[in-house]
Amino acid sequence: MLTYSECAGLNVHELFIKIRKAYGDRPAFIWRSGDQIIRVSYEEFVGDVFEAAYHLDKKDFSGKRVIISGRNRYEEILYMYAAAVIGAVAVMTNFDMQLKAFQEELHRLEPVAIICDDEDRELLLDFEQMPDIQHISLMNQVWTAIPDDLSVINDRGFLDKTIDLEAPALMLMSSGSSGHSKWVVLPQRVFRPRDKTPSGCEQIILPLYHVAAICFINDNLCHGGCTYLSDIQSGIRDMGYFHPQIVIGVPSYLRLMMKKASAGILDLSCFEMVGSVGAPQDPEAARFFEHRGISSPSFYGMTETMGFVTYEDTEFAKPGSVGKIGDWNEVRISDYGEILIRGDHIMSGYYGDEVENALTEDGWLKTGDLGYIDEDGYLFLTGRIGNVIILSNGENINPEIIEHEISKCKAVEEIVISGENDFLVAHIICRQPGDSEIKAEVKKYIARYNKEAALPWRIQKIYFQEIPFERNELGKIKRNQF
Amino acid sequence: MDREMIEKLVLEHLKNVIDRDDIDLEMELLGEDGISSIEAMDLLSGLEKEFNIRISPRNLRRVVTVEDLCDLILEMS
Repeated sequence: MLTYSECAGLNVHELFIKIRKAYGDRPAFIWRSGDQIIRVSYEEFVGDVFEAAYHLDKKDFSGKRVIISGRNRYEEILYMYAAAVIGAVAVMTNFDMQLKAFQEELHRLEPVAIICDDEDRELLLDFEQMPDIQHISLMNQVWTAIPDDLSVINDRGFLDKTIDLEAPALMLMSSGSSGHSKWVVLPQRVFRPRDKTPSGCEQIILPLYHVAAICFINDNLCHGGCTYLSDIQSGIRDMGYFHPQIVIGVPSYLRLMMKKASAGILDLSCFEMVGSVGAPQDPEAARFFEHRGISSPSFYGMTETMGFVTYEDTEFAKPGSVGKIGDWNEVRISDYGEILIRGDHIMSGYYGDEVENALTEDGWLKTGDLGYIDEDGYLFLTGRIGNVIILSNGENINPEIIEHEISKCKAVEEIVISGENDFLVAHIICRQPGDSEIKAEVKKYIARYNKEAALPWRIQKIYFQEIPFERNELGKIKRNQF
Repeated sequence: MDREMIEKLVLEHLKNVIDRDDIDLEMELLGEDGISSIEAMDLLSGLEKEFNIRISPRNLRRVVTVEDLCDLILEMS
């Protein structure tokens, strides 16, 4: 197992040379393609990454942004690392689950290439008109020819430059500490593995634009584990084929696993760990798995920290805590109670954002979370500075964006969005409270909004209120009343 | 496959996910009375196998009620 200290100071290219040498013929990735099971060894995987890197380098993509979008395919991982190897920036995303405005965001990034699934082809028409795009490619059709001389694809052959550890390598979207969506820029150094990451036969169901998926795949690779590629849609079915030891999911997915296991549809005998990320762990699900001898930790972290900051010490877990602070990062609490984090896995900043600086001058990330550290080094969360709603499916929703949208309905006097388990609810005061026609107008407006919105952003329930919302001394609505 | 058969099979799959008998075509698929977004992905997986189609989560944007889901499957099969 390659350790955190062994990987100090390595860029992605150097890390991959080490990985290939350490694990050679071991299986790196396994996935299902129809009725077939495909296996790729470490030797083959690193070879594929370097081959793709060779082509990206030939296209002169170094230092530029490449958008990668898919549905948890091997090729996405391949091109993410290939981009990082040559010093390009992999922007991991997915066209399925984002708001309509997402396309505008992608324009802002000025990408040089987009690599995506065949079924997203129609969405690319918009991008083809962008002058800066040198090449638009689809997965499986990206490279029509391999280099004539394969010997160029060796440990250093095609790269005559050294990529700096601070060079941007990866970009992921985050709701950010203030709740406004931003692109998090992660440099080469964030791929350094954490020794505490669970490794082994691990099934990935989280989407590859989710930082936890990338963090667990990366560290499993560095530790010589085998990653089964799957997704939320096929996850339960795939568990029957792969029999993984480890699965990491959002709390609502763990609840689904619990339900399937209770109904006899899912066999849990292979599992050693079912971990939770993205939102606080569901205590009932954690008890369910632990009762069956399966550890069920939760991991605290953010996109801005390239994954988790704490880990659960199974021998000495503390109820209410989000785990023990890992020795790969420093954590402290500011004078006003905010959790601050520093270390190799911290982002270098937000793309194009010069106004809001989430990092202090000496490199501490301001998380936006409030909390405290106890005498044993365990971290406890007590709240958030911003208004972000974290649903049990791990989605971070900025309520102000939706409130602004619904306020455009003339019948709405005031609106507050809040979260209930896995969905959003709207608390509304109408311009003429009690008027059923006005209420119907609001409902119609929200139904129209829902048709356009991505699933997690839909309003699933409306409460009409006739008394004014409670306000604080500054006149702002108190969100904690909902 | 005809519409009636699609409706029957979709309701059967949904009953397995939601574990309740009082479901019908007018019911909103997601939300308080329906299923969670994660359960929706699991439902899609079962329906894909049943009807031998590929339903992208993007297609779900058009779906509000169970009936909308049946329309989508009819269109794709």
